[in-house]
Amino acid sequence: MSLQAFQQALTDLVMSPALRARVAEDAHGQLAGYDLSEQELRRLAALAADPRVRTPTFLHRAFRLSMLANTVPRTCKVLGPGGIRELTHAWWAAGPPRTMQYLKEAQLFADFARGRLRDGSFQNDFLEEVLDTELAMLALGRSGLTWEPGTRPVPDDLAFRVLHLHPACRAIAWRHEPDAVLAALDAGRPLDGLPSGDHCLLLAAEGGGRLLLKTFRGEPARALLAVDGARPGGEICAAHGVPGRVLAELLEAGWLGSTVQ
Amino acid sequence: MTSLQPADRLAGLPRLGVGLSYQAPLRGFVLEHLDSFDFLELIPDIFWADQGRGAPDRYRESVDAAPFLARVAASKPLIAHSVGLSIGSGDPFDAAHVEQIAAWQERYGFPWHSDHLSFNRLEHVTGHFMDTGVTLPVPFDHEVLDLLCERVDRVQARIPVPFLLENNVYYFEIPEQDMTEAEFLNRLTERTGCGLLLDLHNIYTNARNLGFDPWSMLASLDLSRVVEVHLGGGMEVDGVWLDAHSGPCPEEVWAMLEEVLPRAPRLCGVVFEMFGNYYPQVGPEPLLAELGRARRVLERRAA
Ligand SMILES: [Fe+2]
Repeated sequence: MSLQAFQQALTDLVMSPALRARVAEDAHGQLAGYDLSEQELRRLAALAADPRVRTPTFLHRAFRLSMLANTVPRTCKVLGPGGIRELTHAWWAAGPPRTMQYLKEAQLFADFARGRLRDGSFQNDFLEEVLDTELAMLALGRSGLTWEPGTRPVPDDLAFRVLHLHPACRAIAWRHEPDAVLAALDAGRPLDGLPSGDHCLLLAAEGGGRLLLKTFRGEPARALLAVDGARPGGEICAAHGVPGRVLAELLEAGWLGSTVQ
Repeated sequence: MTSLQPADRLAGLPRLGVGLSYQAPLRGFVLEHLDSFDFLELIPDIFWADQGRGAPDRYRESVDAAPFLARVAASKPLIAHSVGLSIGSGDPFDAAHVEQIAAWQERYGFPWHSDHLSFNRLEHVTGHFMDTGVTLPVPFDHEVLDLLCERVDRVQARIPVPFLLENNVYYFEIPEQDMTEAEFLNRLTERTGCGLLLDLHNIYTNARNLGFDPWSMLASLDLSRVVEVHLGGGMEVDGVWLDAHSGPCPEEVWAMLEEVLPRAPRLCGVVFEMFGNYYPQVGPEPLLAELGRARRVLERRAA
């Protein structure tokens, strides 16, 4: 019996209407796992049946939802009210908030959403690419790193050098035209019927919180998405059907860097 | 242990006047309307990312906080109103949080600082950081009072300026409590010498939702410990009045302020709270109107 156990049970009741319903039926059984005094049990049993506890539940959920709405607003638009309800309720049922940091909460939500997309229990054609893009935007915006335009010298031995993205850049795989999707979301237009096709959206932090967005298709897109900071240029060319000239252009533009193996 | 007589702690505080509670969307308003308030109250926790207890480099401060705060601090006093201590939590006392507030107090010279009389964090039981985002009530029991008094003493021993606790907004009442809220607050301030941050909209909200008389609660509160008052507005959703900080202060809250003023000789600041997300919709006018009205009420009292 301790204040901690009481507060843990109270918090669980606030976060879960389902637990409240079960405790209202059988307080002793449902709360047996908490180390509670008789008085604490009586208090919690009364609160489980108290409809006023619905308000802190609502406020707690609004808080968690605001963490997503403030960090990944376009993802919320992609999901729409029905999708948000379905996915967030499943997400909240999976566990309490483990962080006060909005970015971290959004990342944990993203992991959860990707898992649901992968196992087929949730479907949305645009979710993953928009979510990945928004998370990358947030991470880059906070990184303090800067990419600067300009041409860079290209080393002769590119095939043997390990390639990596510029640290102030992120490459996101898209299965639709990124500009069309982002413009539709910002204008509040539906996404249905937007053309599909493999693209790479490259994000570059320009300093002062500004981000440059550039869309690539075909060979450069495949190259940007294949670069992993581990494989040399020659291997990437062979594995992804990318000519060496494409890698050289990306290096010259400063999107990629290289190191000697 | 307290080193001063409790009554001494609140002596000689500056009468700051009307304060604005800072929220990120209000940044432009703050810089454009510096004349509309006398001091800025900030939630320091929004300027850093707390990595959780025991984490190395636990409080990672956001890079743009320092220039903005330095700019405001050049012309207005800053006050800290934290949400991070979770002083009523059954978890062990979070001394590292007090250290962080102490560092900011030294940096920005807060004349006083405050936190909420509630709990929102539970880390010890769950084994990982957890914050409900809602300030949940603690039972008004003798045992909890003892715990809080000891913790308030620790805060006061570490930070050289007065510490205030704010009366909580709560939407349900814990049954079988040893004391009323007013008795609990009176004993807490009397035993520790800490100040009271009296949130009148919290009292209004609690009274309206739980069906008690806010005036009799005010009548039984020792208002001599009040250093700061919070004003704010709310809205009704499904028959429940929410402490949403969504707009102007209800008339009854203004009337409560009039009742409090003559009985609060140590009052140094009246702060208007508005949730920043409403600002883009409502614009600067309601904020300017409420700050102006608070100023007129204080000036009339001074006259
Ligand atoms: Fe408040």
